[in-house]
Amino acid sequence: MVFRSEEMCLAQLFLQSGSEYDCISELGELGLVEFRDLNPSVSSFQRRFVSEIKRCEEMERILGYLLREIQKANIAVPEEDESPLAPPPRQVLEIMEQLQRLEMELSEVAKNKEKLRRNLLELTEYTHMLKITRTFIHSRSRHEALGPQYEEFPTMETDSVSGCTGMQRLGAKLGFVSGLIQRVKVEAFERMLWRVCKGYTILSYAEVDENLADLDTGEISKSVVFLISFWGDQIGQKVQKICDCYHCHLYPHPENDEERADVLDSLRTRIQDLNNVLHRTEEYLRQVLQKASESAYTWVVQVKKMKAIYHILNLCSFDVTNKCLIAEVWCPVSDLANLRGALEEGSRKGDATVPSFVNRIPSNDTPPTLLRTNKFTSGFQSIVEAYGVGDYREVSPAPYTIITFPFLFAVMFGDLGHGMVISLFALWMVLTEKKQNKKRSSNEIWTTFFNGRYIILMMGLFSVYTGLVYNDCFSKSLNIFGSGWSVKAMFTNQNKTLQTNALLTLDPNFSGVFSGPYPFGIDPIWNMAVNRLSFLNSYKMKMSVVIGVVHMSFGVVLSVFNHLHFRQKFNVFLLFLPELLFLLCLFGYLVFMIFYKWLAFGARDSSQAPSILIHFINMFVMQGKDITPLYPGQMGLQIFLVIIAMLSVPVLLLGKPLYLYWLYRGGKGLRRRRGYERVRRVSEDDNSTAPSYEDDEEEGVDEVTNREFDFADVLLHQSIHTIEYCLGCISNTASYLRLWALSLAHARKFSTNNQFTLSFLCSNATLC
Amino acid sequence: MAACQELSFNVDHGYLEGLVRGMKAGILTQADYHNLAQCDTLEDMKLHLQSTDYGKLLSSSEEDLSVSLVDSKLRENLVTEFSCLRSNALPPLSTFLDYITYGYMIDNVVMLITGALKQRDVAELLPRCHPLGGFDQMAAVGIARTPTELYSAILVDTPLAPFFQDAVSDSNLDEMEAEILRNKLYKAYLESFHSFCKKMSGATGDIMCPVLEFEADRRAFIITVNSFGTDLSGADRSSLYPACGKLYPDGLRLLALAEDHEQVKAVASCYTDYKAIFEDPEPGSEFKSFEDRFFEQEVKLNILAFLQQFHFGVFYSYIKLKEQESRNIVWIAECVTQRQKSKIHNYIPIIQ
Repeated sequence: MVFRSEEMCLAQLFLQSGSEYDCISELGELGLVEFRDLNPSVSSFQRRFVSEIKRCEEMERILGYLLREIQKANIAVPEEDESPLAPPPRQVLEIMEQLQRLEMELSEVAKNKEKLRRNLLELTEYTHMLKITRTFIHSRSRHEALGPQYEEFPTMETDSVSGCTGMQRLGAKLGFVSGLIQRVKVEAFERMLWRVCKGYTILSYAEVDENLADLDTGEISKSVVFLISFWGDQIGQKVQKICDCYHCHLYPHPENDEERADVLDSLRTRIQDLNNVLHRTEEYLRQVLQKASESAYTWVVQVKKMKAIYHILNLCSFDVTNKCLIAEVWCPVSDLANLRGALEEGSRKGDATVPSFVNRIPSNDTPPTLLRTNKFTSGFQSIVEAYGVGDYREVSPAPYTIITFPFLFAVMFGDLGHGMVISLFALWMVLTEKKQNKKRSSNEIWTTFFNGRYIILMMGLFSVYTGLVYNDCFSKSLNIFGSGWSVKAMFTNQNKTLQTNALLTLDPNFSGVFSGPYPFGIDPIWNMAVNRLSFLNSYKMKMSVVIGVVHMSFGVVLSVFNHLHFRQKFNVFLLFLPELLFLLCLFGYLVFMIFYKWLAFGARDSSQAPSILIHFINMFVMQGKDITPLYPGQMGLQIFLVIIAMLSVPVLLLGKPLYLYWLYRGGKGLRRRRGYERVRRVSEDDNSTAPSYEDDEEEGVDEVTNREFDFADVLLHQSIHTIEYCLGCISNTASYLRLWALSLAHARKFSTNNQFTLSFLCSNATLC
Repeated sequence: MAACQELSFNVDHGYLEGLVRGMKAGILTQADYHNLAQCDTLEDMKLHLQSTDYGKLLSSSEEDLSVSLVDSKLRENLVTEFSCLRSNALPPLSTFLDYITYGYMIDNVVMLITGALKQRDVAELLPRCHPLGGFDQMAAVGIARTPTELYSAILVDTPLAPFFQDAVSDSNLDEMEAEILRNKLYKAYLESFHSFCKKMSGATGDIMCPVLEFEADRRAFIITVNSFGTDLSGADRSSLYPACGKLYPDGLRLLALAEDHEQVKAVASCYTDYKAIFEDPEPGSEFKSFEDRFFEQEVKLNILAFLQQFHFGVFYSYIKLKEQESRNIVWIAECVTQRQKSKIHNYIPIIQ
């Protein structure tokens, strides 16, 4: 972790045609540079390498299909530890061909399989139909009505009962339509049949016991077998159409029982055959997929890399005369050598006659912020980035976060036992991180924990520390060094109070009762004190205000480094000083009072100790002559501090805009004269972090006023900043009280928890 | 509770309204159309559409790109979005969304009837039906010979049944009759939808009524213009005009009397909204048919629906805008494949 973000420079890469692909691939593996788009005006489909990208997308599509099929077949795709390099362009066609062949083969087999499956389903449906319709016919011949019959036409019912032979005798042609329909559609189907055919049909149906898969969608659902008997061709056509409309699967209805038996027999053998063939096809499909799954991972990564390379190449501009591609990149200055090495490697791989090379070019644009992280700091960096990414070369707050963040957490979570649990959990994650990394868990909650494992570890360790300070272990105190308090001294003179009172106040003024402070943390005797809570309250509240003010002042001080680095010395006087004065005069003084009270009042005169809150309020309203001052001259000092704080606000608000305006109006001639000097000096002293020139004020201003100077704009910005800062000081100080509140809540919650569980266990024990 | 509908709106419909507003943000902008119009092939269009909310819609298919494929994919997309809305909707929003589909159902029924008259196979016709207006009994429509039969046998179970009150007749269905049937159904549908929206308290009525009135008036104009040169008399015509528009009743009476295009224009000139639509194009500007101008006007009205919150109009408007967008994309695709670059800019921009 570094103090500032990395120094960057703009560089031009000249990539010789022929080796550009290898060069970019090489750079991509290193991840050194950020490319700039050199043809922003060209729309995405008019760029140079669109056809290659399209090819990659085609491959991605095939791969997607392949992976879906592999997943459907429940074959695991083995992942390799190392990600494969992007394939050289020559090899791309080979992969493409392989993929296309696989796709053809797969789709053919899949189509075949689909056909077979469909066939099989049809045959099963047919068998079901035959079996069930037989019961219709038989039950009818026994004069039993099965399924709904139309009451309005009792004569027809009796007619149909005798079956087809009876109807043939009457001379009318009786037709049968039979098939399967989905369960949900039966009622609508029946209604429509009734309406259209005016009742000249008889519908009987029964549900199939098994759940059958739908032919087209493969959905498993209940189906119903139906048998429609009708008279006449006209009606027949209508029935046919209605069946079509409801997507019924129709099967020919056998004339008599012998035929039915024959058909059933032949169906059985055919189903058996089909099952065999289907089984074999599936096996073959599995083999193909198994083979494909071995290289699927490599392909996916390779295609992804290839596509990324072509996307990068699309950002480059093409130089016609030099036969090379020109790319502009942001690169860390310290990595320029690596960049050169990568390009050489790339040219060597691409067999280019002329090597590709780097050319550093000057630029006025603000470079991107690069903060290098490792596995330990990346978590903290991402916490900082959740609030915003700093400007180029700004002081990075992340290194301090490594301490402050876990510490502030620990202040709230101070408990030795709990901290231990957390740190052990984090330690386990840290020790097994290699194994866990490999697993690539997709569980979002787990990855959040895992990515923050070092943060959690630090939080745990700090909690252990603050737990020791609070002397809390699972909200019980540890008595390591022996308490500094002893009630023994009070026993000697045999006074009655001891016998008559259940509670006893340990009086530190009594010699021998208090033998000196506990060596580390809070004395364990407080654990049994009745006024423990009010003692801890007062202690933790004051502590959190102290921590908060120190923390805020530290942040303000950090800004000095920015002002000095960007050579804006005026900011130190016009921003930093008023900010610091405002903070310290008000809240710094509060901290002073806290310490003063701790130091000035001992056990003897503790009853006269004043309330800091009253004094602080009085400071603002400038009253309080009627209460005794903490120290002589308090009134005068307080009024002085308040006036300083109040005065620093207008300085903060107006100082910078007015100063800039003044410079803009008056400093013009001055700046022009020094223009050349400045450029030279800046280029010479590029690396100096905090240079001090005698004229660096003007130089800083120079940078500011180089752009159009808009007074209203600057004023607006500054007023927003001022309001934000002043309100922030007050509300943040109040917010830091949350440290106290949450710490208290944590401790109280667990002590009540303990009480409950203990009393519960005790009552259980007595019951037993 | 009618007075504070806004207070409780979000309880039932807040999620869907948010959803539809989010989807509306994905409607192609002028810049997107500009880019699309620059394309030389459908592949280019696919590449560009990838960068919009359509994403991988076109690239996931294995077949070669064609205009009809683009059309069906876009329609599929719309139907997916609509069914997502519909399946999450609670009453009365669900009824409202159903009302949207009825219009498509009417079109489907009429298309199937005309198809059946031309002896086309149902299997060939079904894929051409708009999937938003799909219903179970659709395939059986061809069986009917008369509107009465159509009603009593097939459509009585469908939500279209109430619209048949005026349309029931025993005359044989021919092409003319089918067209009349369509208009009668549509008239009943629009009037019913209009009164439904009016009954809804709050902003829904305020937003939807102008849109539906516009739709009614547009139908009236189009019926009139299309009837010139056919044997449809003025009285017959007036029975087809939806009676919920701004034209009702005086404008419709005048329209029924109109004999040629000039007289229609005279009627339109009495109404500020429609005056511009029938005006002669300014010299120098591109020629636009009055249908296109109606579309333009419709888009404008539908965009307005998004200015207010807590009403159902956004759902209707979103569907209509998305439909217009599909038409635009298909138009551009058509121009691209047929190399008619000069006409490519005749689409109707939705969001400027």
